[in-house]
Amino acid sequence: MIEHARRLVRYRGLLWNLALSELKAKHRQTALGMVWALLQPVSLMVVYTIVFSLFVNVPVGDSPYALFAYVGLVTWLFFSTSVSAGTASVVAQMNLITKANFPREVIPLSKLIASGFDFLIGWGCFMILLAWYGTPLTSAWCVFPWILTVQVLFIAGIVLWGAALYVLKRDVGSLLPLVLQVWMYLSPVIYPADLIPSAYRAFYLLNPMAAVIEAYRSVTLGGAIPPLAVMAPATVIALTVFVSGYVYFKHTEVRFADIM
Amino acid sequence: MSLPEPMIEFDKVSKCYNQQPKTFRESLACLSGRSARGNPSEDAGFWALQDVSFNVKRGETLGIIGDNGAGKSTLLKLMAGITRPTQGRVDVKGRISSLIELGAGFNPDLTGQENIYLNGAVLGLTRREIDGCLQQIADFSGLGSFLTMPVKYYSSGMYARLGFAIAVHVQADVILTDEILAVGDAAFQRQCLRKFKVLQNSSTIIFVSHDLARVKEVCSRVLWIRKGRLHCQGESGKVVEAYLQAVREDRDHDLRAGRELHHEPEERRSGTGEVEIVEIGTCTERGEPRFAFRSDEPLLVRIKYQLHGHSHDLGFGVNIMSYAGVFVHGTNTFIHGMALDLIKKTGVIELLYPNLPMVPGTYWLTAGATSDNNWSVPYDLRERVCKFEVLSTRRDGGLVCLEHHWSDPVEHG
Repeated sequence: MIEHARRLVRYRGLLWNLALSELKAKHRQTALGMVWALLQPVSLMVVYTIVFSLFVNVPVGDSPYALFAYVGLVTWLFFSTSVSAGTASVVAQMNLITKANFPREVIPLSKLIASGFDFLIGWGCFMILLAWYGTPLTSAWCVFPWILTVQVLFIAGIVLWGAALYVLKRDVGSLLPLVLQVWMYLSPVIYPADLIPSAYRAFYLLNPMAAVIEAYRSVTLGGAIPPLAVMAPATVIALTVFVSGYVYFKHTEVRFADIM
Repeated sequence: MSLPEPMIEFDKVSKCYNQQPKTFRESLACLSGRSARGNPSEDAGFWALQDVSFNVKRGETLGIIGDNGAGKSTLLKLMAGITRPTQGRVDVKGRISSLIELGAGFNPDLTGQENIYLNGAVLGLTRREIDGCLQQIADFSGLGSFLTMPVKYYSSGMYARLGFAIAVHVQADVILTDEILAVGDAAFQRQCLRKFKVLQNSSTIIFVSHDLARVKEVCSRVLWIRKGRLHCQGESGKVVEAYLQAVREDRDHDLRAGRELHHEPEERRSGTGEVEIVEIGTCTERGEPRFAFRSDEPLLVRIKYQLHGHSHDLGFGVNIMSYAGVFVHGTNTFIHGMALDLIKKTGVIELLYPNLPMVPGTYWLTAGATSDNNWSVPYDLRERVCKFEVLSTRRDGGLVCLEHHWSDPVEHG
């Protein structure tokens, strides 16, 4: 494990390079370039705001629904784009995998970094929106790095699991969009977790994506530190998923070139 | 300190490729990773290599020859660490640069220069190390201002140039090559060969090629892999000769046993089918099937045909191409004004080159039959239907050995 980590550090150049190549290739071809990173969450935000605050009134507390939905969407999109791109990535790069030797995890992880850029842009825009709505910056922001770490570890874990399983069984590719769709409705992206009956809420928040989205909202919109009862289980689960995903990926990667 | 240490060690290495699991239970076992290493069931798997042991010393250039599917590529993949042996031990020291496929991993949307960094990173270089050799790579590739253009606009030759330039400039201890000198035009091939000879002084090189003349020329030692086993190893000239002899015998054997001849996977076939080219082979002057020739030896191309339907003004043609695809020579019965009046359904037509003037290398044959010299709608056109080797001790470059004589220098006052 330590040996694997050391080798990954040695190949960090490749990790950045693949992520940057992806970004450059993605944005160079399009007329709007980087604007696309914003267009997706913003347009979804507009649609959901119209549907869920005009047509159907979803109670979201004091903050405007647009901001409420935007945090959820930006966070969710980071997860879903990383997972769908990361899962397919190893199979897509088969040409490279059967021709050169390097730590294979750089391929799915580079997808995570690439969608991380979009996430950062999304957050930058969110800060501007917060200022626009006059939401105050509070000391609760100091747990922001913790939430981000949990989120990234969890995404990395899922991406590693998905990428390795997809090489072994292509069924994963067909299953994934369905899983992501269901998962989104099981996470408080467009509605608040308060709507979940309190009997099930603790169970509901075991989903690290639910915990992360609620925690971000609590920090940015509520100005409150998220409760430890939400963050602690999410941290443990995210860490477990990450470590098991990494171990499983390294365990199966020796066979990748043979299976293709 | 000067004692050459083994850079590559293979100790009783075997590699078995498992069939994909078929049932759900097998899939579960596969997912749990139980079959990840060790005991694959012998009946389900395909043994690509069995019990191969050898050493390669620092600074040595080792050639690997063998038929298609003998296990050469598996051997390279094991050396590169792309795949693991099923049994035995593989030990490779130092940095490996793999030229197994030039430009594998180029991102078509990125520029040449960006791809240099990407490909360098794949080979394990840091950004600073690539900065250090960027200029050399750019100079060697000769691509100049094309480097700022996305590589999707490159020709296949430019693609290969860039791939080669990167792979040879990363200061690797071990360089793995597969048919490497068969790319690009003649000038670039010569440039590659020169660079290759420089690298031979500093690196350990594994050279896999079907170009037996080149193997003989550049390698000090050769391994011959036959059906997954190390058939023999030794001084390059001897092994190559033994291999050629065996190829000849195999072919004789195939013919006697009436089995189908080895089919070239690169073949392209087209035509309307009224006349079929059943078989095409290369022979000696006396009609014995043969696969390797020496420069200036006679070459007989034998075409077996069969008439299926009505044909009109029938004629046959033969082209010779170099391995890299350069058209060396082509002729047909129309050019020679031959009127073929065929009555029987089957037959043989032969084309004799009394002395083959080509330089060493691998050559492709294309044969066809058509009507009225119209090759855009042939009866049967079999491109790259078979290949033959030309061996020579001559070192002339180019495609053909033109008759030539050097004068003694005449010095002026």
